[in-house]
Amino acid sequence: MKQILNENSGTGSYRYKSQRGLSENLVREISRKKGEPAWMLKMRLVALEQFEAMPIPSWGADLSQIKWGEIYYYLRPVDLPYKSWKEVPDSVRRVFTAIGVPEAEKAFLAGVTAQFDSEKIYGSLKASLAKQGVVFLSMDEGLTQYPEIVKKYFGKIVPYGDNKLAALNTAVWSGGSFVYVPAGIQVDLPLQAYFRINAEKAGQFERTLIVVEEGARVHYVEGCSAPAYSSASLHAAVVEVIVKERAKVRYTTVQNWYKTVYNLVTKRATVAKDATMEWVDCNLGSRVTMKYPSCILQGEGAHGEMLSMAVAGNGQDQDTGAKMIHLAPRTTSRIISKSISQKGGRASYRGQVKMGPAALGSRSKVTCDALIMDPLSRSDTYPNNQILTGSSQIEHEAYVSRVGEEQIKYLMSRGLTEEEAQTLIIRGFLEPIVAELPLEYAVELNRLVKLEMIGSVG
Amino acid sequence: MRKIVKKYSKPGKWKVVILFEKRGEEKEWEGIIDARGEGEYELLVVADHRVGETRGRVTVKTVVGRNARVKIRGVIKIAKKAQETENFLEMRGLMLSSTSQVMAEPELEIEANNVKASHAASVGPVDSEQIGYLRSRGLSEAEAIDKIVLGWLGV
Repeated sequence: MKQILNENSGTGSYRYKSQRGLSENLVREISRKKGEPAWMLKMRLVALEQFEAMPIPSWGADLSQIKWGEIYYYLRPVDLPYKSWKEVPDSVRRVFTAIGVPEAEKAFLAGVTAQFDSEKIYGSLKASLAKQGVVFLSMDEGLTQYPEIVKKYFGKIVPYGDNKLAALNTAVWSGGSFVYVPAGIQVDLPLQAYFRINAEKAGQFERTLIVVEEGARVHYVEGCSAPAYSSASLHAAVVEVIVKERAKVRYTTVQNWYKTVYNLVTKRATVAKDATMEWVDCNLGSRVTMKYPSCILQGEGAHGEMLSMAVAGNGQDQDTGAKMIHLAPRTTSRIISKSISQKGGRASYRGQVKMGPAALGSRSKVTCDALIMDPLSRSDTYPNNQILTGSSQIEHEAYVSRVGEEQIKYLMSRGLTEEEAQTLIIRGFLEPIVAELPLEYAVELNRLVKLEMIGSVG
Repeated sequence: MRKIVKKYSKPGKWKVVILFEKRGEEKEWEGIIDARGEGEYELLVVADHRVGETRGRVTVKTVVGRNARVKIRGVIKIAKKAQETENFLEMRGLMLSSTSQVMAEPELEIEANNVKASHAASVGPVDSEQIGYLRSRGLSEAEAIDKIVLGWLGV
């Protein structure tokens, strides 16, 4: 499977391939090709100016090697998304088959979209859900078919001025998901989106908007990967989630970009009264990941949760974490972060828990555990806890260590090799996160972690 | 382990570096910030482990009163060659008023793998059950809180 994931299918058959680099003309071209309303073009252009004016963040991972002028910002493989896997060109389909997407769709999922470079190539949604008013489309289709909803929320949770990468995304976004769940509707099976960077030096800028009305429930799962190139590519996505009163949303990501991808993502959810937002974030790939999913707990009794795991290997810098902003009384949050750094990798937890002055009676608990496997690797934690009212409570604990020698010796005395013992202990370490993934992903993730861990003994 | 205790009872800004340069060194440091008076209190404490087999324990406790703002930044740094180091950084904050504010930033920068480094931070208000119990024994609310604070500070 790893072999297929690392191949690329070339861009010869692409419908459209932009010039390298960024320009106002390119932004206008993207908007024109998509047939967007005037207000969206206007926002793209203002965001482009903002991107050019803002500096690269001075904190976090090293972004100085990104060659902005050499990236292809827009690549369109096909003109219209297909509705059946049979129609999808073979070169594209075999990637998704290798990952098991079509199979999973038949058995486990409520709907699927698949994106290749800048555009959606396939999409489906169970008829019963569509009848109830559930919408699961690419962001481009959402803008065309549900303009009032998109206009109401787009850019309101993550404005284009939020940070440099959000400005870039707002200027050149393409693809991503648009999910709308009407009040009271419980979507029992997960909605799955899969993103694939195919071309060399490509940039993928997906934009996702998820609106879940009162009392509704949905689980959105996304996976991503890219082939083995030596040059860098860039993935700068923006995800905005609106969770209304008493609704419940879970957003799961399994990130497995190849080790030359810069993965810089802004993800944020607003959570209303008595609603719940859960982020489940697994980071295995990429050269650099900077990602801090956030919950703005706006309504009384809102709950935010983050389960995050990161594995940083040779040449990787996983700089991840979460932000929980408590703005209302009796809100709660929980962050569990597990990271492993090995073979010279660096894993950092960067998080913020903020209790605003109105967050009376609110509570938060953060647990970060890190394993450093060898003397070449590095682990850091940078938690920022701000408690601005005396009647709220925060607990934070972090633990950094290596795999316990007694544990390994014990397992070896029971007949396991050192490598098997190590693998078992790591699986146990990650288990609280992996247990939360849909079954087929959990199996897949365990396999991917095992592949990463081979050779890390000693 | 030798323990050094430092108390800060007036608003101000301080930096403390606890250096571990000799193999086998063990140091324990406790900072107590009595922020019952209005104002801004800022403390940066760094436990810098440059060599191996060193052990440290850093504790910062603070009591924060009305209109007092306390910022505590605690860093445990472990250099690449400082193997077999252990350190535990603990921050505890007790808030006395709805206008008390605490910013707690416990950080870790670990470059050696055979170490045990951990930290914990907890901030919260005075336990109302404890106040209730003391009041049932005849203390006024103010006296009860005073007693609880003294016990909590450990002085």
